[in-house]
Amino acid sequence: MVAIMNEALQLEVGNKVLEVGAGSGWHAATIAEIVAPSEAPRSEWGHVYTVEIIEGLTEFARRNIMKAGYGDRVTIICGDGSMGYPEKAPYDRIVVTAAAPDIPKPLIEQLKNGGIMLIPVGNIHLFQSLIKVVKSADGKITRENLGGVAFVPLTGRYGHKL
Amino acid sequence: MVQNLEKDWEQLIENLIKEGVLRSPRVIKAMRKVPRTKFLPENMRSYSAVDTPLPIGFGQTVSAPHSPGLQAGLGETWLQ
Repeated sequence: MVAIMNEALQLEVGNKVLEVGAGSGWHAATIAEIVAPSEAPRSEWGHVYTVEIIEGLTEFARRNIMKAGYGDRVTIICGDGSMGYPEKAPYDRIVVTAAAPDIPKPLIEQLKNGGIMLIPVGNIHLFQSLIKVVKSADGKITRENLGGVAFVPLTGRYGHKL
Repeated sequence: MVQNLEKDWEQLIENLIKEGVLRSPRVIKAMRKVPRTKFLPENMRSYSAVDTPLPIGFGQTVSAPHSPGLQAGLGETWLQ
């Protein structure tokens, strides 16, 4: 899934990326290596902001990311990522790593014109659709269904009520 | 069994390239540079290069690297 999503995100060096759901921190670190490659000058580096709602996982992800050497390119925030992270918005790319009931409005608002968002949307008792949201240069939204996926549920204000 | 996790990870990357999942040089490079092993709880590390989601505690999972070979039975559906 990480391979599929990183290809579909069309990440570029210098991109500012928001991830909703840090989990282990692995996906964020792979994104960081693409938008801020270790061998590129720091002045060209992008950055990954990843929001995790579970406190214990936030610590787990933070430790993993520091140990792997990506602490300077990934910021881990403990909070409700279903509302995005307005403090650093807008983002070139947004990737949601949990299944949402619908696309949260704040995430669409926090996506830059010309930006791409990937989000699994749908019922949590079956599989969901991986939706690619593209915001055009003039702010128009188009959605494309990339196929079925199975994720853990997104929780929080715009998440599933469990 | 003595495992060579680095070799297994490389094998997985090569499979993902062969299957057409990994295509862009920079995504491939990042997958090589950041193996999943370091992000797993200790008891899961030997499964790092197995192409499936793995438990990381708190009822959550870490995503599978991903091979479409896993799409079994659900049409275009991938496991996370």
